[in-house]
Amino acid sequence: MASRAEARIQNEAKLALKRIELSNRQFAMLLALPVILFLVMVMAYPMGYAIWLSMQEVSFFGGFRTSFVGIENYREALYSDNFWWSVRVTVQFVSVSVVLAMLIGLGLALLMHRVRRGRALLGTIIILPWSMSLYGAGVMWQYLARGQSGVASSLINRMLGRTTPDTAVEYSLISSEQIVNLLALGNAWNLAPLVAFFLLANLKTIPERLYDLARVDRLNIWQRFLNVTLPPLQYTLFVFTTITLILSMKLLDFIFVMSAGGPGDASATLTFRLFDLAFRQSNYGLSAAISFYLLFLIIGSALALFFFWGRRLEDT
Amino acid sequence: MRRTSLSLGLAALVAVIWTLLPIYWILKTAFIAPVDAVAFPAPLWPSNPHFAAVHNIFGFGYTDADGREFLPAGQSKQVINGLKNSVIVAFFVTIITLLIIVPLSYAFARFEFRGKTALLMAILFSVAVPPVSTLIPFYILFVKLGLTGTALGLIIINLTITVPFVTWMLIGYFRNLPAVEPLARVDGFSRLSTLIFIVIPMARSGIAVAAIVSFLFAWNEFVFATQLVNGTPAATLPTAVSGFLFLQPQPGLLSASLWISIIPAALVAFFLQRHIAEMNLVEPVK
Amino acid sequence: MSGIEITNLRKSFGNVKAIEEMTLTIPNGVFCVILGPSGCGKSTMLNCVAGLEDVTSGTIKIGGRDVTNLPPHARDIAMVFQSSLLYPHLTALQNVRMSLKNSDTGAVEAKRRIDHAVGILEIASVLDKKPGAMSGGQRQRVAMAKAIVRNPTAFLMDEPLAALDAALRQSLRPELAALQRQLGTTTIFVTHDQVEAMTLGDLIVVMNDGRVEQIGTPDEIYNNPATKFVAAFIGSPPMNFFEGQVEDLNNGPALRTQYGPIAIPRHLFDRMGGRAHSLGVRPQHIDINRTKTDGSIPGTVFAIENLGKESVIILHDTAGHDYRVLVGPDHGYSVGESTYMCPDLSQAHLF
Repeated sequence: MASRAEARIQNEAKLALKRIELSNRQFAMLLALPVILFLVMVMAYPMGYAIWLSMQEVSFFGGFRTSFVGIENYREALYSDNFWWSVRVTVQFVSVSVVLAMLIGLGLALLMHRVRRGRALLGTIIILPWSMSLYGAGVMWQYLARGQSGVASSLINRMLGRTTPDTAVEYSLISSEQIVNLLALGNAWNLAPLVAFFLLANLKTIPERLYDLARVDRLNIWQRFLNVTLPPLQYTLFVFTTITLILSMKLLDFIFVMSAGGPGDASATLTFRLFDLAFRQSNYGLSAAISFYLLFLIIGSALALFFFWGRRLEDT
Repeated sequence: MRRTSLSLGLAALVAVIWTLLPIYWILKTAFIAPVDAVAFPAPLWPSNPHFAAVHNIFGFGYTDADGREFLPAGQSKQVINGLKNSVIVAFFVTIITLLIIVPLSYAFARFEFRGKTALLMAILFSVAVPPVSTLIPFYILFVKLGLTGTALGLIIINLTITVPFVTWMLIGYFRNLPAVEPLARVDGFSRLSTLIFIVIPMARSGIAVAAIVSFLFAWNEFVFATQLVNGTPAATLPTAVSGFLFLQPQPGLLSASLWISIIPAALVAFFLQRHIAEMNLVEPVK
Repeated sequence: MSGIEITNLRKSFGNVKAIEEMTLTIPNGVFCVILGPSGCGKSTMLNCVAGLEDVTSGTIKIGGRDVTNLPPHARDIAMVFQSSLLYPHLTALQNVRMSLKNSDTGAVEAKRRIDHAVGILEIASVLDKKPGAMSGGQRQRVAMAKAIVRNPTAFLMDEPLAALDAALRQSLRPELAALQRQLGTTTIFVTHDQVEAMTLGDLIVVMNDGRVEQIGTPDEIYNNPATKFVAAFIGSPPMNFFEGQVEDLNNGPALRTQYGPIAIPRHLFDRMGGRAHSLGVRPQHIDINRTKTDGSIPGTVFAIENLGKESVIILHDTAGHDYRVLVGPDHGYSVGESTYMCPDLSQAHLF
């Protein structure tokens, strides 16, 4: 009797086993499958469509009509001065952004690492720019930099005692020459917290003993930074250089709100240019073509970073 | 010792000013009387706090101490409607993102399966695709499907950004969790119930960060919204605020509406600064 | 009733054979230690018994019941994982409860068992703490409590003490042994630490490279090692080996070394014959002298480790091989001295 009940239990357990025990691979595929479908839908479709679109001439006379023009849009972009200007602006904007974001991020990380009292409060303040919207940041920086409402006019005039509208002089930080750098500064303001918090996490893993060793070896503060602090941060620095590079290349909201590509087209980055082409000038074909040049630029520069920097860190 | 703590305090002060100055400079304007708000040179702080803007933005009239009346802002309807839409869009984007990415990043972190590397590459690649490039095809598709001007369209396109980015964040996070799966199996949990009853509660701070990042992204998103829903009943808060953007002379209202959009970010900042670094963005790249 | 019976167990991952072939019977209530270096297949074997890995072939019976194809939870086992793994987000009490969550144990019975386990392991004070806030020893006790509330037919333990410091390991070992004796539950304990194996096990299984080298009591394993691997793995300081060729010479069997022949007792030779090529002697069974005697082997003192009541003298022969000799505290040797080793051949082993 008992053995029969036991056999039954065992049998049921076996069946249950068959029912629920998928192999790891099956289970993983089951979890990943909906996402793969989703990715195909939201990534493969737009990419495919964009490729098709980049080879079309789109006209809106009597509805949406397209005609195949082959690589004409890609050729047109390469022959256009506007395109090359935007490439120049993009390169400048991105390089200045990345350098500033990394330096400021490193500085903030070192600061948070050293601060003992009020660490949480300081951290809360420091992360604010990153959690804020880019359009909000754009509004803020524009408001801050403009001559009329800006901080420069306000402070300088007050220091010189010129507090009435007729005596005061406008000091605008926005100019054709400096707008790209100013945008990069605002972008770095937004990105630096992200860099800072991941560098901070990495800093915490450096053993305190290593600093004692450096002191015994009589390294000065700068040598300590170079020989103890910096080496373990290298991989994180590489990854976040790549991340800030990609995010800066992709950036549109902030530029759109703060400078709208201007003055003139002084700050028309590639993202701004292709947004403008598509949604202001309805030149979808050219815009799609430029978007692939931008994508190549993004992936190309990320790969270049990897080959010249990241690959050497692989072993460490 | 004293000199180091002094210079440390000084550095902290510089960092705080650098961080807060742009935010402060515009937010102060909400509490400055409309006449002073456009004064030149601009006031450094609200010396006589004035609450007209924060009332007007929500559609309330306001009479100040001097008896001056301030009418409700003409855009207050859009702002309130935008607030409502933003909450709806951000909420659904967050929920759908989590439903997709939690199982996905768990599978990536814990199991080996064919095509895993290729899929991971695809995800990293889609993080690199500029949103504008995605926007163009979606815009044309949505025009055909009649999805422009709807929250649904905006939710879908927001997901194209949140899903890859947050998946990447969570993979590294899950990898760092202890491998309790065998323990759970001995305790009689199937793989699915291990995920639901063990792993998800164990990973709650990481999942919370993922949720916050998705929420903030959708809440803050501007370009998609401008193109897809601006000027429609589905307009979100950022597009409603853009109505004030270059509008003079009402910086007080602009400032007040910025307050509204910044508050969620400020509320989660404390949590974010504690847990953001657990996400380990570095590992999936390795 | 039998404890655990493993018959012709094989396990391979693709082309890699993790367990070549294993047959093992553990009588009811016995504490069995699986000992081997890392990568020898001991953890894989335990996972197969637990049901965490499917077997490639063979059968596993626990308490007389064939469990080969059952999921872990249906096998009536409890497991303590490496470093006493616990759910990090749950308190000690919640961790213990998890063991019974998916069983049909009633609430009253569950509470009785948990109270009982908490009492035995004296963990009442940490019940509300999470693993991160506990010491290594406390985690180990909670993991044990989690195991015993299940009232299983068998305990499976995968190096639970590995992450603890030496002093704590030493104090937990006898507790673990006493607890197992008190409960009388058949136990498989996997470790790479020979001291743990010798002190805990009623039965020791020495594994290497996916194969069982020897199964026996601690005494058998130590005194009659079946293979050179077992002989070298068990004992500290480790056994010394003199290499050469065993031949049956005119005046009896001997090991031909580069320093001349070492005579070998007839009974050893009869067991191994001419296949053997090394003679194993434990450090306490070698005498050293300053003068050469018949069958002695020259060695230079390389280092002396003073252990207090005795010392280990490490000698090098001309080829640079290490030999360890255990001597009393007043040995009088110093580093660099030339000496001669005389193995006690009645205590020697041939491999």
